[in-house]
Amino acid sequence: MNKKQGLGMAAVLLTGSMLAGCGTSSAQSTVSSHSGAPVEASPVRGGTLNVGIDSDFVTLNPAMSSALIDRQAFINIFDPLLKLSPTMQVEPNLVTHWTVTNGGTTYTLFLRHGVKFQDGTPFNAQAVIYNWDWEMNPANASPRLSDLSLVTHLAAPNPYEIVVTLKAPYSAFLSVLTGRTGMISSPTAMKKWGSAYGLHPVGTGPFKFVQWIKNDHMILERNPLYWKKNQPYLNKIVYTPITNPVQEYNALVTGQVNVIDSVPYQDVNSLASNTSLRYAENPGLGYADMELNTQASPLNNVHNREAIDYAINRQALNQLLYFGHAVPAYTQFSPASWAYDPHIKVPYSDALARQQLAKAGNPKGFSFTLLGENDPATVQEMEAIQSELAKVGITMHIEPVDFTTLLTDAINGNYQADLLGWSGRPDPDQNSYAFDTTGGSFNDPRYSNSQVDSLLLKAREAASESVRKQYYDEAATIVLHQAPYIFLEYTPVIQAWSPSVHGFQVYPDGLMRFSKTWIK
Amino acid sequence: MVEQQMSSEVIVVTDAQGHSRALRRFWKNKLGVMGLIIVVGFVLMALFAPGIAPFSPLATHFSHAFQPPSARHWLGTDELGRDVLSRIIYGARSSLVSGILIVAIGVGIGVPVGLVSGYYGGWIDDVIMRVVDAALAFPALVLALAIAWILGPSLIHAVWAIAAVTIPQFARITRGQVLSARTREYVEAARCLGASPWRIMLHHVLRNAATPILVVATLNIGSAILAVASLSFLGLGPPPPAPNWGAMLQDGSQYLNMAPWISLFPGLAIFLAVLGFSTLGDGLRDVLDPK
Amino acid sequence: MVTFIVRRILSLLPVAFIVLVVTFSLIHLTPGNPAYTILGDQASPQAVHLLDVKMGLTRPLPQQFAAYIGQVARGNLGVSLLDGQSVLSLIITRLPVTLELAVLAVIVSLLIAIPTGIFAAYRPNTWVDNLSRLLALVGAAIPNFWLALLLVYIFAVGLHWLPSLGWVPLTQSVPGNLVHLVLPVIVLALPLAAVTSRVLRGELIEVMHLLYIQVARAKGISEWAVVMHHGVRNALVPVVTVVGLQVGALLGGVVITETIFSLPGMGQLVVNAIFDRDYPVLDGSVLFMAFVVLLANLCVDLVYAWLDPRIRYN
Repeated sequence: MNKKQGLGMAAVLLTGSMLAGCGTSSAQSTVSSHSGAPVEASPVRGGTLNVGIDSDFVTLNPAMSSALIDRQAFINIFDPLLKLSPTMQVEPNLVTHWTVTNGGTTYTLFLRHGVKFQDGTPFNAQAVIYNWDWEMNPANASPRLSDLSLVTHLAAPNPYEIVVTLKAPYSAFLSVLTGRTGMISSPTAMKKWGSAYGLHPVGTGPFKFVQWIKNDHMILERNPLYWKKNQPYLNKIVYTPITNPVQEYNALVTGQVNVIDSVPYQDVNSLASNTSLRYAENPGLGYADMELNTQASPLNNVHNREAIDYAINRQALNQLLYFGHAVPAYTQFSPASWAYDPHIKVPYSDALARQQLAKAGNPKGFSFTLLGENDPATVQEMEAIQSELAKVGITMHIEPVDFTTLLTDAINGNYQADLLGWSGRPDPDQNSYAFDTTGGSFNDPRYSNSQVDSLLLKAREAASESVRKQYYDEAATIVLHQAPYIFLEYTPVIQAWSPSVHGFQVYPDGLMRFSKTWIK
Repeated sequence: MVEQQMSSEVIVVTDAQGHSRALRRFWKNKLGVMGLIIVVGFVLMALFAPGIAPFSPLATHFSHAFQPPSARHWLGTDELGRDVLSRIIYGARSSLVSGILIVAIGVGIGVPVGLVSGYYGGWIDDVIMRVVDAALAFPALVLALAIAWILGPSLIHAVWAIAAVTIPQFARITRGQVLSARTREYVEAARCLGASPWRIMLHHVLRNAATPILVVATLNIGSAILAVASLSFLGLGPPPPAPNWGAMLQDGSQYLNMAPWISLFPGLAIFLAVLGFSTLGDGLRDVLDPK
Repeated sequence: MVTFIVRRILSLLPVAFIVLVVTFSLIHLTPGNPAYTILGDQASPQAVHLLDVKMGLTRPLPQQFAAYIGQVARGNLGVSLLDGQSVLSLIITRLPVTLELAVLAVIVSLLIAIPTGIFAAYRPNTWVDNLSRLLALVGAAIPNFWLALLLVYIFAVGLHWLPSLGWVPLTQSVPGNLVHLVLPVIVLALPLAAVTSRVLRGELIEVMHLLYIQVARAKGISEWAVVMHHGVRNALVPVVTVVGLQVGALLGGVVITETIFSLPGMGQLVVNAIFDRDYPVLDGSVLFMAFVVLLANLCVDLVYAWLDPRIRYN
């Protein structure tokens, strides 16, 4: 599918037009019910779409954002350089075609002509480079810095061409351009607003920003300068954050909103029989997992960690917490990814768990503390894990903390175990390299294994998907058994909307793209 | 009445008589008696929880989760298949203990501070009262939230957080009582007879302040239980899986549509316990301080 | 009178200073760092340090405090660490929501408390009195978060009569605004009504024993007229006090109510600022809330002094 590069060739030219079914592709791997919305014939212009989201935005500046929820706004305000298909394939967008040369270390990106930012200023190579220079400047402390850490040089031979030089081959680079790093802000607006730019975002996307009242609503409006002439159809989008999932669902049922970004698992089954609502369920890119600190006793003992792996009945957790809508997880690669391999797993076995405990030198078990976010769903999950582990004699204490404390402790290694989870990215490198390699920026467990390091580096630098998958399989097997992470469930993306909403599709990344949506 | 008494002995006698009369009056106070019955009921429940509870409050049965109230599980089962009734019965322990502890801390620190402030007056009084004013000016729940956040979620931290906002209340009430008692003849008399300030405070002033303090303390146990439940509801109570009413209510709230019993019954328990203490306190006030 | 007011206002200054010190130290001692909130899972130690420097959080705490005091004294509450918005403007956009909620709650509570309090006092120790006292006790004992869930479950989810959450500005639609406030206002008003009705009853019974009431009675004025004309007017003084003193509790209730009903008011602002460790927003809004409480207490004193000429201003 995604064979973008040929290793050993001097240059591989790959243009957008060579990718099958780009743009209008409606290829679906979705497990959707009666939503499978056949593309409706005649979109209606106008109208306001009310959208329920599960938390409020943190910042609307893509260069400073790290919150998952921000991406819901970005996908409609900004237009990424490259876009993702519903099956998570990279497709041309503002970059119409590209070449990869010098053994995968030089990317030449060709930009679409005639695109304007919402403030009327032109979108061009200088704008892209201005954004990336800003993000690469350490003084700005941008979370995008790590995406661009391999970049050594940026050049614009002409206004519609960017040459990116990398330190080393990086097969996930195109995938990075589908995310926040590929979302380009108007340099004029960035300069005008300075540190307050996050309240006045200006992109090239189908909708322009109008107003954001925190914890209340955010309003977007049709962008008349959008480069796709007939899109979008909607006049206005109003996002309302509703942090309580039950209330968010109630808001859809009572008609206060037209679309919601997530559905409480216990309500999914009733949705199937509800004719007044539409929904779709997709495997997501993300997963729920525990991080185990491999540098702190007692989880510095690999056998103690592996005992946890065997002691947890993932199927039972799936039924209890996800009402059967999740998929038991054993690796970082979800069923929505090409790197997914259902054969890599461990059995649920009290006997094997006890065997590991004996090997660890504590046959009667041990005790440790799990940190997790302080919300009812997470608390329930922690209690369920606690009762699973108790069966083999492992005593797990629960410490609910707020998200900031959780992150602070996880990043500083000031914990024994935590429950964090990962929302997932389209390229497997983005889900593994920084997590598993020695000193990686997301490696909260402080895990270090030279074999894993070299496998993931090879996978990052290899060009063919099938070669990369072999490396990922090997690395994932080692990581599973050494258990710096206990992968629990691949979480699905479930979104629901009222029947008046048309032209809406659910993507594995959970981002709600409204450029083709219309309301009647 | 009391103002005319000249020596402490006489007051003691009147107090004893007054108390027995008060007791008789209390039994006629229907609401007060109702409060007493509720409070005694909860205390017995907390003391004999292991004997009363039909199941272990911690035993999970994933396959029995979300069962509605039935003959086997009178109040249904929760999101992990635990018996809601048993958890409510055990939950009485932490609620009562924390409520009483908070008021004990409030009285233990607030009353001496109020005594000192009221008796000495002057700059001491000024400083203490400014601090008390400041403490009372905070939105109490926000202050408690902030304290509980710093200390991390645990029952004892929640107790300290709420006690911190209770102390100034008792300090202020005690000070008010001291101020009004100071000018009374029997205190003047004791001072003339050469009694030491502390003796006067403890024997004469505090004795008279005891009644309003007792009433406020009883009422405060109820509000302390409510405050602990609020903190637990916000996730700042004892860490799970300890059975705690506020936490049960919050954890069950995500299933309100499908299994309302998980959060409705613990709320009812909080309500009844608070009602018990406040009607009891109210009854005591009617009897001891018939205003 | 004027000197009394000036002195009372001046006496607020040390209190405000203590509030400021306590707020500032409480908040800055809280574990966690706003840099982690901003950087999220991308936070590397270097990135956190860079951001800390940028936000001025690496300076010693006393120095930060001194800078903050200087700022506040000049009327500047600073800007949010997260998005650079001015704290004052954040408070001003949130204030109408909380203000409307609180004012409506006070009005509704008085509408409940005054009749029940009067009835109870009019026929003390009868079943009317007992019933109204019981209702008052019930109102005060119901956990507001539980009541909120209960009301949402019945009136929003079950009956579909009222929206379960959200906010429509008055300027946009008056009926829409009121419909969204029905449940939150009930949740806030009930405990307030309970306390107020209790106080009103107690005061009325006491007032009714006073000499001038006896005189009025002796003059043959109907009992009801006596209660309404002489009793209630005098009993309202302590009611004003109670309502004023309840402002603090009301703000506490606002925090929970706004969280449950997703109302964009001061309560949500504070809770989110705690979550995000947005120090300036938290410092500013807690200070502001404390200031409102102090102001309410001052108003109570003044109204009290005005209503009751026996109090001397010194």
